[in-house]
Amino acid sequence: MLTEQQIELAHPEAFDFVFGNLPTAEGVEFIRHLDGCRHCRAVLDEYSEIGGIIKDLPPRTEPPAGLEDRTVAAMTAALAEQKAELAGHLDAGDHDGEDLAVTRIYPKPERELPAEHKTRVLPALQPGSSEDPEPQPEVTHLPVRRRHRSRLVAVVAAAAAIVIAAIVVPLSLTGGPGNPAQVTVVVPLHATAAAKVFGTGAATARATARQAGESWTFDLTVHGLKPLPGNDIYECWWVGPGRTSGRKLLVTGGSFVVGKSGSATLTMTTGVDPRQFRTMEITAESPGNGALHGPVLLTGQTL
Amino acid sequence: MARGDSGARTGPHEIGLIARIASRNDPDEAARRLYRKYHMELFRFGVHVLHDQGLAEDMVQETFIKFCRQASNYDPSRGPVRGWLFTMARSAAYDIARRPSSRPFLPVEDFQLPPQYDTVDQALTVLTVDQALDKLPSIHASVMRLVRDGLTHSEIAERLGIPIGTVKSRSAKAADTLRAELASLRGGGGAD
Repeated sequence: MLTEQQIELAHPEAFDFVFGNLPTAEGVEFIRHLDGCRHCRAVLDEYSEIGGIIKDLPPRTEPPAGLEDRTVAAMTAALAEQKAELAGHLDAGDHDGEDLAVTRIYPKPERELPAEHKTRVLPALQPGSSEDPEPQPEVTHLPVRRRHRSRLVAVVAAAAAIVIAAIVVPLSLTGGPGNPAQVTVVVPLHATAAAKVFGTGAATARATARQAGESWTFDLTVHGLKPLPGNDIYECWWVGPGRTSGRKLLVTGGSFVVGKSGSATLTMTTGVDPRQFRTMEITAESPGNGALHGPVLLTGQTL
Repeated sequence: MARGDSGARTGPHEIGLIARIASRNDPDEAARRLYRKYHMELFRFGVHVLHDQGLAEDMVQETFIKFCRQASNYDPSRGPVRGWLFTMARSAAYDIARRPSSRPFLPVEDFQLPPQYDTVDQALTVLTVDQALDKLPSIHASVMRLVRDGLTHSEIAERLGIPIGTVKSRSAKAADTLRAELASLRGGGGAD
């Protein structure tokens, strides 16, 4: 550490130099000056490393407020997914750790897991005393899920019908747009890194969008996804160019669920032009838990 | 995680949070607390290496998701959780940067993969200094803010209306404080 006297004797340009703020022309002159000034050399010896780090610090940006809820929801979903995978894995009788991503078999709540298949927690990580309750298997009622899914599909279908009606009826009343040439775009989607974490790393999808008057209808085919727990859904998004307040410009394309096959073929309608909103993303969402945009599992761009 | 990763040690409270996530014992609250502790550093790291706030958000999410799924593997004797998180974040950032969707509006030749720090330590060093800037006394911090804005010491003296000798003294003291924080990091000290 330099003394007050050493600091006083050093030229201010020495400090500007270590923090990277000395103009280039003056820098050349300063380097010549260094040969004959031990006080400035002392500043360089003392502060060059920290000065270099300060010079290269990243910009001070704040994450958006919504990121916390989205991330915590994604973390919770990942834990639930992992738990279900483990239970399904045991039910399937396959203990070698393969094929976890393909099929989920719902956990049986009354079943006590064999010790070797419980989540490993190192002794140092055991929370609290022996009074801490053992983690209980999550109860999943399949009939309820079916009812929710049916309701969800009905809601999606109703929404699609309203949108289609809103387009078709005015067109029929006005005689249509004059039969414009139909434009088609294709969006191949691939799994993201998050999909691997989510256990759907092999998922693929393809969307074929066709212009229908002022709107677009697109057929979406997905493979390799997994049934989601509870009321969770997959959500399809069109991502626009640029950003608003640093956030992606997103327009929902609709939501869907998949069965045990992990595949689905759907037809959806959107008001956005996929030639402008060139990226499509598919996320996993948990309605009602505060999450606005879950992990992106599939993504792709219009060809 | 490599043995010897730098960063503050993982305290008992934090180990308890990780254990709650690993055992799924009220994981929501534990996840939120860990998020609040590390998200700022991770986000800034993401912006730094990915040059995009949206992609940095993706990186933060993917890092915490991965962390949750691997929480039961965490061994505090092998190093601090901070180093572990940044190892995951670096990997997530690299994956994100390589996705075609991360560069839709740039010609391929104009897009650069994130700078790869030689070690996680290097990334942690930068972020430790970044955080330490917030802890500086206000008279030192005000000088360092202007230093970061690119002002020379003469310009800072004029801007703040103080003698240039005072500016030198304050920037030197600030640099000493930041160096001490770094030394603490490298020595493995610090608290939960």
